[in-house]
Parts: sequence; C-alpha cells; structure tokens
Amino acid sequence: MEIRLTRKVRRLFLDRRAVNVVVSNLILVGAVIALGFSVLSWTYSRSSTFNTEYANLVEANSERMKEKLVFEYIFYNASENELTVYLINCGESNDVSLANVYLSNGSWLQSFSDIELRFLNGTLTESLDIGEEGYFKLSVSLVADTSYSIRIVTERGRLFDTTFIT
Amino acid sequence: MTRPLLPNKKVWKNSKGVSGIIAAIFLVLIVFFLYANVFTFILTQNTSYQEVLSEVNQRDIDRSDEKITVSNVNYTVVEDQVRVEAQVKNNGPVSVQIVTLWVVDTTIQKYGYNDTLNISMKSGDNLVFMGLNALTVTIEDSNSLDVFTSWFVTDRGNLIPLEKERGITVAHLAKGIGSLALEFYEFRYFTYESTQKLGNYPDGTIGFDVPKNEYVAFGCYLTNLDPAKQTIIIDSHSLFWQPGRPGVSEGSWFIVNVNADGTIRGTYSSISLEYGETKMLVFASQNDLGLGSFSRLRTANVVTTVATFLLLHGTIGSNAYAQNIPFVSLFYY
Repeated sequence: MEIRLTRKVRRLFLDRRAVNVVVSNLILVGAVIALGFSVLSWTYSRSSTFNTEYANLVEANSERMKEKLVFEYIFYNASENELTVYLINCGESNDVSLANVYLSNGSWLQSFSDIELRFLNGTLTESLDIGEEGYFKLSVSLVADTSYSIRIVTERGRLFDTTFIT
Repeated sequence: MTRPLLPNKKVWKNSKGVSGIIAAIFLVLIVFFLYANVFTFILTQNTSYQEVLSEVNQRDIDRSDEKITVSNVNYTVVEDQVRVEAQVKNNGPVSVQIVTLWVVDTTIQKYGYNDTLNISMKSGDNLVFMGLNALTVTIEDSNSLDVFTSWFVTDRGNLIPLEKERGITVAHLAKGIGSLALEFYEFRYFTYESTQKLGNYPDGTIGFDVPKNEYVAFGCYLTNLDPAKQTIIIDSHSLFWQPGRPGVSEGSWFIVNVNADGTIRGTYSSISLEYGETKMLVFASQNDLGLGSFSRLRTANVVTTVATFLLLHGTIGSNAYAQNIPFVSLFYY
C-alpha cells in the first residue's frame, strides 16, 4: 500500500505531460484572485469614502436645517451711529456662528463680515449654543424713521431676515 | 434512467474556466457589497435626514401653537428698577418656557432685559407677577411716568408683547389722595448693627411682620406723581406713626438720612422728590431731628396687629405740603 502511494507521487512529479496548462491555469486563477481582492478592496475604500462624504453632507444639511436664530431686539443708537442686534438661538443646533450680516433699505446694501458676537453679559463668543442669547453691534449711519432689512448668514449657510425701523 | 442531481463528474474534473467562475464570484461579491454597504447606508442617512425634517417641522408647529396672554400689565420704577406687574396665562396646548423679559422705556429711548426668568408654564397655567413677585428690569434714569413697551421671549423664539391695560391712571389717583404714592410691596424694616447703624441696609426685610420689642427702622418707597409736576421737599417733621391703643404703646419713627453703609446721620437734611422720581425714605428716630437728637426706638412688646400711618410734611413747589397716607398694617410677633 505504502509502496503504491510512493509510486503515484513519484509519477506525478516525473510526469511532464500538460504541466504548461496547469501552471498557466494556476497563474490565471492567482491573477484573478489577486485582481478580485484588489478590486474588492478598492470598492470598499471608495464606498467608505463616499459613505463618509455622504454622511458629512447629510449631517451638515441636518444641522443647517435645525439652526434657528430669532431677533429679540434691534436698537439703533443715533448719537453713536451704532446698531445693536440681539439674538436667541432657539433652534436645535449648537455652535451657530455668524458669517455675514447684510443691511439694506431697498436700493442700498452694506455687508459686514467681521462680526463680534457677544453673550448678553458682554463676553465675546464665537458661536451660540442652543438656548443662548447674544448680540452684535454694527457701526453704521442710518436715517431716522426709515425701514431697514437685516439678513444674517450663518457659517452653515442658513439665512435669517427681519426688518426694523430706526 | 434517473438524472443525477449534481453535475457530471466531468464538470468538476474540467479545470478550464475556473478563473471565470472565480471572477464571477468576485463580481457578485462586489455588487452585493456595494448594495449592502452603500445603498443601505444612503437609505439610513436619508431616513435620518427625514427625521430631522420632521423634528424641525414639529418644532415649528409647537412654536406656532404657543399661545400666551398677558393682562393687567403695570410698570413702576424704584431706583432704576422697572417693576413689571402682569398676569400671564398659557392658553395654548403646549408647555412654554419664558426665558427673557425685554422692557423699552420709549420716553428716554433706553432699554433693559431680564434673562434670568426661566418661567415654565404648562398648558392652562396662570401666573401672577404682582407685588413682591413683580418682574424687574434695570433701566438707568427710568421713571414711573415714562411710557414702556415690553415683551417676553420664549425658548422656542416667540416674542409675546405685554399690552398695558390701565383703567385708572396713577396720576389721576394721586390727584385724589395726594401727590405722593406709596410702593406698597416695597415696604421693609431694618434692624440695628449698632446704636446708630442699620445692619441690613438698604435691603432690609421686606414684609409686614415685624419682631416685637426690637429696635427697628422702617423704609418705604414714595413716588412723586404730582399732576402739576412740581418738586416735593420732605422735611424733618415727617414720621411713621403707629397709634397706641389699650395694651399697645404708641410709636413715632421720624425721618432720617442714612449713609450708603447704613449709618444714620445725627442731623437731617431735607429730601427732594422730582416729578416722577421714586426714593426710599427711612424712618428711625424717636425724635424729630429738626428739634432734637437721634435715638432709636423699639416696637411694642406685645404680639398684635397695629395700624400705621405716614405723616409727611414739607413743601410742593413754593407751597406748603402735608399728606397723611393711610399706611400698612403690621403684625408684631
């Protein structure tokens, strides 16, 4: 029995017929497996990147949708040419910061980008969390008894508008 | 002859096309993976975005459902503190959290706010902010006779205006009973730290229950509501009088000047009240300081309720002025 097995193994190694076909098949199978795994891993990596980007996009949109700023009071100090705008973050997004403020009265428009946002106690802050109130001041000369529009653009791109009369 | 369920042995033995099969398996795996990973992920993300939209919509609905009515609004000013009295009712179906009260004095174009309210109101709740419970906002140089506008801010971002409803103006009332009006809920008494120094000045103890047989001084806020808008001067003959009756000794606390640290001055200089101005007057001396020297006075040594009166004396404009204000009742305990 043992002798028969040894003979068979020896014949397998000594038999030179069709070796080329076996080797080429092995190479082809190996190549296909290697290529398959690389494509699979590439797909995984691409889909992970896509998922991450999509998740970030959805989260950013969600946070933007949940932002809500309400104008509590707008006061214009004519003697100091200073407009004070009081806000409350009554949305469901934290870290609401202001990117730009636009002031207009129909034909005229002025933009402000360097906004110093402060809490009601005067402390400087970058953003308002949920339920927090704050204000910013704009140095601007306005005409008395005139209607103006103010637009706030947040860092996430949400717009909030109101009008007031000086 | 029955057909074998498994493919012929030749299929398994034939190694040709194996790579194609493996490639097909990989292709299926990739498609399945893409479907499972990307498609289901997008589906989950879209679902969560829809949930956010629903939350935002629900919040907007809740916001529009807030219905607060404010009635019986009245404003008084005591030393730059605007006291806002109002009755607030939540008539809406949702609970409301009031976070800030804004008050604008449109007469002097100044404003103030109180952002420490945090008043929670369930549906149907009715809160009364009167007297000691009045809401306060600091506005410098404000006056009781100024015109005020005010509003509440809720945590959902609603602004609720406080509309003033006043049947009788304070000025007309003052004309009927005298030009000085008392801030009833600001009445207070002080105890002594030493023989001529008040211990808890200027806060005192607000209320109408006073310890018996105790050296005390009394403080009350008066507002000049003279319709002719004249200045009133209060002289040293003004006093806080508690009449006696059988078993209860009489007491007279004359007006005094008090330093910021609570020290009572030995002499009295007249106090003036401009039109619309509110000041706290302190009554502490057993003697009229225009006629005698300061000495403090005890309350009656009996547990009882007593009547008290403010007897004010001085000038209004260039004329003499005197007014007796039927004052508060006190309980000695």
